Amino acid sequence: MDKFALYVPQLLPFKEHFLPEAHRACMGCGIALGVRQTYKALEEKNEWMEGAHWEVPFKQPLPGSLIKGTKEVGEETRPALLQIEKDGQAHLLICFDNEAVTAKPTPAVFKKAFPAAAVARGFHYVATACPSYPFDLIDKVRRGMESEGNSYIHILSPCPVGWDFESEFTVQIGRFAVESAIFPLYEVVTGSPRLTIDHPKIRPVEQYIHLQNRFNHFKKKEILAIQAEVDSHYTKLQEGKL
Amino acid sequence: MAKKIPAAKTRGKHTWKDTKVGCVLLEEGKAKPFEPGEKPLLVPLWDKEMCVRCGLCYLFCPDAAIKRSDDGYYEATLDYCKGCGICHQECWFGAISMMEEA
Repeated sequence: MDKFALYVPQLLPFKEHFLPEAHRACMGCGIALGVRQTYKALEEKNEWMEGAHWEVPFKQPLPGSLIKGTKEVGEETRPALLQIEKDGQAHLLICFDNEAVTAKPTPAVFKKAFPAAAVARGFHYVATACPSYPFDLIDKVRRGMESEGNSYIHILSPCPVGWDFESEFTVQIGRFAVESAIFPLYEVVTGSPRLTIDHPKIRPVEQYIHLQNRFNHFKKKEILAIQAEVDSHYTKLQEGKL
Repeated sequence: MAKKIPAAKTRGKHTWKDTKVGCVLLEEGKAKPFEPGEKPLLVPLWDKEMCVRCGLCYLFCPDAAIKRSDDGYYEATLDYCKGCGICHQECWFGAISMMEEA
């Protein structure tokens, strides 16, 4: 055996199910990356692939500056939802969240209400994932399919158009979001969350915010408030409370 | 479940008179018959001396454009590459450089 075959990405199946000619994503799209990795996790078992359909299909979100002056201003933006049927009546729901807002983004975009709501509704497996950590994401999708009952996965997918950054930083920004604890990766199996990736040294939130141009209007006071909120949420998660 | 819109029976006979106001696409799979995209400005090129064949570029490509060739090295299919530069940014060994296509 070739010694180079030992690198982990080569253990994944090389066959593609999310074909590049079937989508019209922009270059460096985080959603396309997340969907591709999800399909890579699913493609081991063909029955899973057959039951997948888009509850809310993903489309290019328009940033506030582009929409101004059109009718779409008042329209609510909904994140893309992929629903996969398991055997029986249960299903796996995957949300591809690109934090699209039609107005100027406020600090409220960092709050993720969906995972907590899913836990409250009695979903058996709830997790957050990011395509910057591909093996973590693939693991979670497989575990969500294998667990009994409904499961929900929230995937943060950076959007170069909406967040206003260069397309080559898509993966890096997702990594910064996790390292600065703005989007901690955890999974909830029996009511209490467990951090799957716990960095010993957490980045300041400022570094994540300054990478993107959509937060240019934030002032220092707001950033400090965000930092305090993120810290309290993260210590809560470390103690095992949602 | 979302409503499924049946595919157009008259594909090919579609003229400008049939387009909806605002050129809205009402059918699924409209992009399939076309060659995807125009050619990108910058294209990834691999330096085979520095490449260790780890496959990170392949894993992080959103468009599934990077494929493994028979000798274990990776190559981009330029039909699908949009030139986003994620592979260049994520390569640990600096083996990928974005160049103008010759």
